[in-house]
Amino acid sequence: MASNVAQKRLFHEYKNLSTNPPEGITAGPVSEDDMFYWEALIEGPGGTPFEGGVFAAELKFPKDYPLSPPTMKFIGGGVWHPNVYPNGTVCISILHPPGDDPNHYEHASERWSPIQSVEKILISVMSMLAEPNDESPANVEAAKMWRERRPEYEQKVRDEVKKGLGL
Amino acid sequence: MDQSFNLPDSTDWLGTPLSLLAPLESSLRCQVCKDFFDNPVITSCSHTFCSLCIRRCLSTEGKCPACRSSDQELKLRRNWAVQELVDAFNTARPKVLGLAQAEKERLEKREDDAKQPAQKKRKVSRVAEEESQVEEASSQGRQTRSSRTRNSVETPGASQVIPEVIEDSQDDDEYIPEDGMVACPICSQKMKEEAVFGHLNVHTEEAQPPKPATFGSFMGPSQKGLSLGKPPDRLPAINYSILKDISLRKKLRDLGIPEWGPKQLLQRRHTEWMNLWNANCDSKSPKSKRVLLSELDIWERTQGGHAATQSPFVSSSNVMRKDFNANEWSSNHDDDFKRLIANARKKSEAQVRSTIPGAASDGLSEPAQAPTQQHVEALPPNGARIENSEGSDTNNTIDLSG
Amino acid sequence: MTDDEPSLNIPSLLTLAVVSFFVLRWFFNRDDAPAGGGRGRGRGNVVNPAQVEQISQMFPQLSTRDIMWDLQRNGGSVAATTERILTGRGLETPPPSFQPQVAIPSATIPAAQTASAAAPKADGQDLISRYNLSAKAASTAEPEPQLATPSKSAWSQNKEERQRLLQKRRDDMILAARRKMMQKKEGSAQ
Repeated sequence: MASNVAQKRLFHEYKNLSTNPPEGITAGPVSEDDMFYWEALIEGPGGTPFEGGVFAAELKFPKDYPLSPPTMKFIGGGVWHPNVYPNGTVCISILHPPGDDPNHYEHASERWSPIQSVEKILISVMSMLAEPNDESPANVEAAKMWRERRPEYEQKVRDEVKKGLGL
Repeated sequence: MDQSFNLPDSTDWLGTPLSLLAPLESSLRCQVCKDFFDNPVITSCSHTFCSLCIRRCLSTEGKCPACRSSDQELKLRRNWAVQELVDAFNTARPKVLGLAQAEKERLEKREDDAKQPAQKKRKVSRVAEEESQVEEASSQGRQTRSSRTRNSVETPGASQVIPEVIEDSQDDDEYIPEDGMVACPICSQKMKEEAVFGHLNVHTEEAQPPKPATFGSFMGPSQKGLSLGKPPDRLPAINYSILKDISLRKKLRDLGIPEWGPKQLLQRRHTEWMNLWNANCDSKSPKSKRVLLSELDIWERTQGGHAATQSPFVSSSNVMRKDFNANEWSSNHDDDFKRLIANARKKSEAQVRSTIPGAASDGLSEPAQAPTQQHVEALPPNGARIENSEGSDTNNTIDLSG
Repeated sequence: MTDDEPSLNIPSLLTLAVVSFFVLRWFFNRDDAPAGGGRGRGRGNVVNPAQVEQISQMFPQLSTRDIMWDLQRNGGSVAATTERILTGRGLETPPPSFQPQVAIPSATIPAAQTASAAAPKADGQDLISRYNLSAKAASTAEPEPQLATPSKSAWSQNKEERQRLLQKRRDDMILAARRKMMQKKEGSAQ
């Protein structure tokens, strides 16, 4: 039953995201044989250098989902962003379980809770793209560039966006 | 997973004329499991969840998932009103949804017809007549049609409900008879109102087993005891830290659940059992211990000792750590690896969607693989060996991981 | 060869198959390596994408870059890399200068022709090639109205149908973004 709970809940979320998708988000399991491995597409938020871009990410869910949060990783080139590790792993408070806060910078209210969902994660990531959290850089170089040389950062992001679309 | 292909969801209402029912349905669903409330309980911060869901949440972090205020399992109270709402909604749901979907289809059909009315009228005169009637009547027609659908589709169902209501009212009538006599709710024997309570004791003594079954015993008569008598006793929480390995093992044995594995696993198993058991105590019609044991067995296979993974709670947050133990990870995720290997084989047989830069399209990945396969095929003369050689590659990898 | 014996048992068959597999791959790798290269040069920077795919399927937590680095250093042996990961030694992080090159056959892809002349960069794998959209991207250079509007009923009772719908929504999203970006580019160029 424990796993059925996770699978069933993921299936609910899949259905919900398919029938009533939020703007600029597409997500679902790569194969329904494995509901614990998803791929998602996020549109870059408007008014940011990410505008017009589409970013692919993989989501991996633990067996005790939704008690524990999934992990999220951008795939295919990665994203140049202070809160995204160079290998693409997203570092954002909603993906961190409440009990686990090594840096003590996040409010418990922002972190994972079983009532959060894939949809909320993806929306949070979208807003993270627009507003980086400077306090906990996962990509120090990107954070430094974002802080000190904003035009260069924005240009780099724009180039990555174009590259991601094969242009 | 098969049953979930038809998983009912609040989004079923979207697109139908009754789309406003979607929020109603989602408010009747637990926010943790996204299913309808199952034995809903209310927390001290006034949030409602399934009994099992909130118990699992509280045993992992001790906080309400909705508002993150601390709470204790002991403070959970049943929420019968919500249970009744869910039951009533669930009874009505298929019919209402059926109506809504029929209406949606009808509207869609009418739209299609409106696009090409001339053809329709000429070709299928009877249908066209009906449709034109509906079109003329517009809003009026909508009503007639929907009531017509109700008549044609729902008559058998409706006839089920109405007699029930009538029976109820008949029962009510019987409860206020002129002679002042009252029927016993169990055996319907008529007697004076004062005598009923004394008489009822006879029934309860008959029905109840002489003594509530001990937790260690395997179900048997306890099922009857669970469903008829007073609700079974709840299991108290244990402070695992003061308990020694051996006494914890003994405790598990007394409860009748598996007692193997390291202490951490024992703790987790006991917590899960406690959650299952206590959630079952919240149920109006409690399940037998055997059912609970089989549920624990499923847990064991997916998350417990047989899952060969540590709590994913720990592992998922550990991957990024510097002291991450890759060895442990690889042994813990043996099953996942095997599954992935199987997936990889399946994929490469059909078509490789490579994650490698510059090699993603068919034209690229296939030539990269094809020569290998050609060589393999070239060497062994018969087909059977090809299969073996393919399989062996995978087996080899699995062996390494084991 | 032992395979003609009637008492052929599965382990020996497996061993034979594994050995022949690696031998053949060695042959294949040698053929594929740049001609005239010595051992050091023949090993080169070329990594077989199928191998990287295989390993990253087994160990999804590893980055493909690390896998490519290890594969390149041990001469493209999947078994060696797998063993290294499983024994807990982990993979080394490649130096920043490491530019993995993928074994690209001589045939050029249409995407490379339609897209800009820039050679596909190793770490910049784009979504078009990832999801095999190069053909669609080329053919639907002009916006198609029915593509632009996402279908409302993106759900089906049928499993395959659902999978297809999801794929279509994903492809549409990428292609729409690509079209927009191209239009924007043209607009700014004029």
